[in-house]
Amino acid sequence: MRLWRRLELEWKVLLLAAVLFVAFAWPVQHFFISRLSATLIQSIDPNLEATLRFALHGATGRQRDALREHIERYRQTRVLIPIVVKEQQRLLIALSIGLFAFFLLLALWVLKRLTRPLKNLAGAVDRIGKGETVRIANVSGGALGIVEQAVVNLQDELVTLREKARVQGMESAWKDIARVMAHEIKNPLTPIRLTLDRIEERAGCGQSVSNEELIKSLSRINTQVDILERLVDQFRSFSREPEVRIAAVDCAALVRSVADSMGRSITTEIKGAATIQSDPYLLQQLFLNLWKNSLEAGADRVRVVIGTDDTAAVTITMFDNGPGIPPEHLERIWLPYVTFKKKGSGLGLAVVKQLVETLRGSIALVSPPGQGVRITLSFPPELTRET
Amino acid sequence: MLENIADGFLGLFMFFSHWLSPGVDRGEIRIEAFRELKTRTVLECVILFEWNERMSDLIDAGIPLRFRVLSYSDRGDSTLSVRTLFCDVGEYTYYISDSLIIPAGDSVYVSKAHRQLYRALRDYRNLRRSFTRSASYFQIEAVLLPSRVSHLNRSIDMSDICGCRRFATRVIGKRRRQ
Repeated sequence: MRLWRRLELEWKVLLLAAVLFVAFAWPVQHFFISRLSATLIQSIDPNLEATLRFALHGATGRQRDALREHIERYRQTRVLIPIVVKEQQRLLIALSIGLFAFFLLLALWVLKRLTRPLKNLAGAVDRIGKGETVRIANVSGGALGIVEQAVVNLQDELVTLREKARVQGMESAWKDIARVMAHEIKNPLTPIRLTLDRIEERAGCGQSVSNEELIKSLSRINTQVDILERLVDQFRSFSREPEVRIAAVDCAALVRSVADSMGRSITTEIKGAATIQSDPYLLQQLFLNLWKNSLEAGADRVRVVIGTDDTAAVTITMFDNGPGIPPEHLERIWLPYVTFKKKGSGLGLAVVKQLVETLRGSIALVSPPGQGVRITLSFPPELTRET
Repeated sequence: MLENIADGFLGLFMFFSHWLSPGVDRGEIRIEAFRELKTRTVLECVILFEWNERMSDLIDAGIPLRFRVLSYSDRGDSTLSVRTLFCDVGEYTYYISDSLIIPAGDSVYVSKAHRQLYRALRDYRNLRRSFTRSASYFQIEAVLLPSRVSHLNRSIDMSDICGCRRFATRVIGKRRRQ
């Protein structure tokens, strides 16, 4: 069956014709020849010779010669019938084979004329699909010509549509860039806004802000401004991968600083400690996204456990007490612009995944029903060594 | 009368012997005797070919069986003849004729007439050729010729029925072997 499918149309026609010829033409001609032979033999009177011989006994002279000739003719006719029929059969078979071969060649020629342009068209369509501009000579007439014209029209339509898609794609890309920029700029702005709100709140209540607290707040704002500056730099070189500046990072301190920057909106509990070789700014951006994601989901408490696994990789596991993610949504959470929150942009976890991959780590998210979300970040051991 | 009865018995015996004998698939010329006389060397041979009922029917219908027989030696003496077996349908008699084309040129010799086909066939198959005494190499070839069907104005090829068209044999004489 596979071989039959792989056979080209002309060979299928050829095979079918051969099978039909053997199955029908041969038995049919054999049947007719047998009938013809039987009819011819039956058409000769078997008593004719006896009658002629009886007449020969009494005949003399010319009459005798004539009767002898009649007997001879009778015998020759009778004996030659099978031979002549056999000859005719051979002739018929030769003619049948000749006709079969002729029509076969004709069919092959016609099919070649039909299938070759179709194959060319298929190749042209394939190349058009790959974006090439193909010149199709619309020279065939009939149905094939209509198909060729249709492919020419299709190519024209595709060129127009591709141009439209290119323009739309550019517009869409600009919109995406704008969304990403807005999202990423908004992230550092949240801690700045919270810090400023706290100072304003203190001032509003008539409470004094100590120098130490002021310096701490200014430092926090300064850090977020640094992040903003770096974001701007990254967007400036949008097509490039984020630049990674490796340094020794105290995971617990970094998580604590992110938690502090979120203020009192979310309570953070940190257990364990580890130092890895990574980019502190990218890590901070990563954790900010995670915290903001939990906050937006409705969590008010986060627990972080820092440790190592069996492969000596540093793991940072974060548990929140939010509503969690339904199992049916888990497959799509890493896709950009996919969000299941009312005010979400759909970029938070996509950016987190991209950052983890940039830092050569891995991330896993599980959401047991009614237990919030558990996110495990893992950084391979080589990143934990001093470089 | 007695001669006719004897011919009849002999014919019947030969019919049964043909019927019982295994068919010859291919024709051949079998050497029966090789005689080196004082002035001539004589070769006696038999042309063997398949014989069957259809062949009998064809002969009985007055269609002649024709072989062209060519014999030659290394001394240049050659004979070309056409040997024919035909039946007179009215008389039920079989005749064998030899038309000598070379060297005599269209000389026709009709052999004895036979009342039984198988006796005629036996005579027809027997060939006797003589060559000059000094010859040491002899070849005899027989080729079946198309037969004319007089009343139907056509000819037929009997080679399909008798299973062969051309056969030959060669003999190397004593002098050459020495």
